[in-house]
Amino acid sequence: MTETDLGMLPAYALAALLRKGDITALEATKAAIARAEAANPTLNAVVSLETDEALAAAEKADQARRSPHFQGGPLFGVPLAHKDMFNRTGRIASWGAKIRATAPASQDATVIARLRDAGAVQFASLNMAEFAFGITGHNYHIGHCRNPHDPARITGGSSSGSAAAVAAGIVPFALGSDTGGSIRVPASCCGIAGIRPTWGLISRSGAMPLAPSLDTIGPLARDVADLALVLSVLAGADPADATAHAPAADYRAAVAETPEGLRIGVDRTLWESIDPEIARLLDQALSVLLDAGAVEVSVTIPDLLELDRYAQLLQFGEASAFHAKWMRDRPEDYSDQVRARLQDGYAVSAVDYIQGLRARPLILNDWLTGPFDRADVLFLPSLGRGIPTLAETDVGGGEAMTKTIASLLRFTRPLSYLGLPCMALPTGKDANGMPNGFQLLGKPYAETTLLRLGGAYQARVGVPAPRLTGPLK
Amino acid sequence: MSASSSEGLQFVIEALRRQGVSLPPERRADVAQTASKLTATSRLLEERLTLANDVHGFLTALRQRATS
Repeated sequence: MTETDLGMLPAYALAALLRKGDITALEATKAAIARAEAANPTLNAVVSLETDEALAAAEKADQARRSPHFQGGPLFGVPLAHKDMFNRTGRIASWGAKIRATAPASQDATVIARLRDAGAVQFASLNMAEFAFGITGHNYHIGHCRNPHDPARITGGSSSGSAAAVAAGIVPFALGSDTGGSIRVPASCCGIAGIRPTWGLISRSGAMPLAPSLDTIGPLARDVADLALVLSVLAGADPADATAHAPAADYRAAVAETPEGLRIGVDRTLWESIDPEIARLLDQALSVLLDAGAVEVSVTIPDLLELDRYAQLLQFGEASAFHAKWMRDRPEDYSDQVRARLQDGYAVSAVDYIQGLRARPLILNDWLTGPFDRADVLFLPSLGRGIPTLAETDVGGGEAMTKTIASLLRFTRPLSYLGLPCMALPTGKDANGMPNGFQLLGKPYAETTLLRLGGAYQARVGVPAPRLTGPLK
Repeated sequence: MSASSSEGLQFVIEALRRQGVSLPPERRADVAQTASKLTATSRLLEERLTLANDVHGFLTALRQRATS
């Protein structure tokens, strides 16, 4: 198998070959590093390659496989890379920023430890928006990340490198984080799938916080079955994170289950405010789900603009509190955009913030007794517009730039306030040849319902092929 | 600038001063607008809140409505 062939494989299939010994972990890791080196001059998705350590870990895995007692975990020998925001023993994560921790981490983040225990080999860390506080994929400290479908266009953020690396076939999946859309937006911009789990399903211990009341960690992947595999490895209680919860669920089996009879709630009035071409792509995607046996029901989605303000009450205040010391001592070390967003956080009083927290169960109940009373899942756009260029969303774009950036969040950040699981899946391509996406929002801890629909959708439209890229000509 | 925006601006300038963070003059209008907008949102939510609505109630609400 060539390095490109290996890059086509989902993680579950690659792990199966590795466990059988059809290929070695060393071969798989060398191939992944070669793909990263080939694509990175174009994409800037990888911020650090850990070649020596990864090859040593791969050799160790190959030795373990030769043991008569070998069992091998579900990610045995699979070379991976993740958003550079997770603690790893002895390392300092970049956080996509100029400001960094003053000392190396003393232990791994829970998600990193669980992936390693499942057999994964980490060979790189991936680009991200500065402090995960940006939705486009721009990064003025370590360079902007570029979309594999068109390097002039944004990847979306803040999990920019994760989306680009997965879409380009460097890795089959990558971890990202989602506070206001940072998994769903880049997944949709890059034509792949991603899942923001129920708030608290996956431990955040050892992950860089942005706004903990909204922060979630989840995977971006080309193949929905890999999303399920990652949830099966990561979900569950963690003594280090009191919010982490472990409901019994078979995520991997759900992907193959029929979505027959599942009720998909759709509010067509949302279509009136989005780009007509994107509306057409959403209609196509919805029809695939209905062909698979799901049933469309008409629902009324509550005011998303108001819901977004509830999310802002939590996000702005929490982010600014985490950054208060650096905002006082090192304000010049932030990019202008992130510093401005953090200044906004001082506009939220403690009283306003706490009302935002107290009202959350009431608003959740409004949705569960409102649109979810008639539906198992809700179907919404991810973006509602085409993918802008890096230039259109860069500094100096004035009022138009501000509006473009706000438009990228209008369907994702409001939903974050609800804490509900939300899967982004890719639509077909627009006239520019760019992908787009839609969201399926589920009830609390109903990730299996989303995976049933995701699996059926993918079975009909296919798994997105990697967008292989070489250096810019 | 409306009265509420002006109040918002005063609040923000004072909050930033106490935190030791500077706000350039060209950003004052934007931040005041954010303050005004989010305070109005908080007041709207307040209308529905009672003493029974606890700060930590959200996780309980999610788990009570768990679906698998």
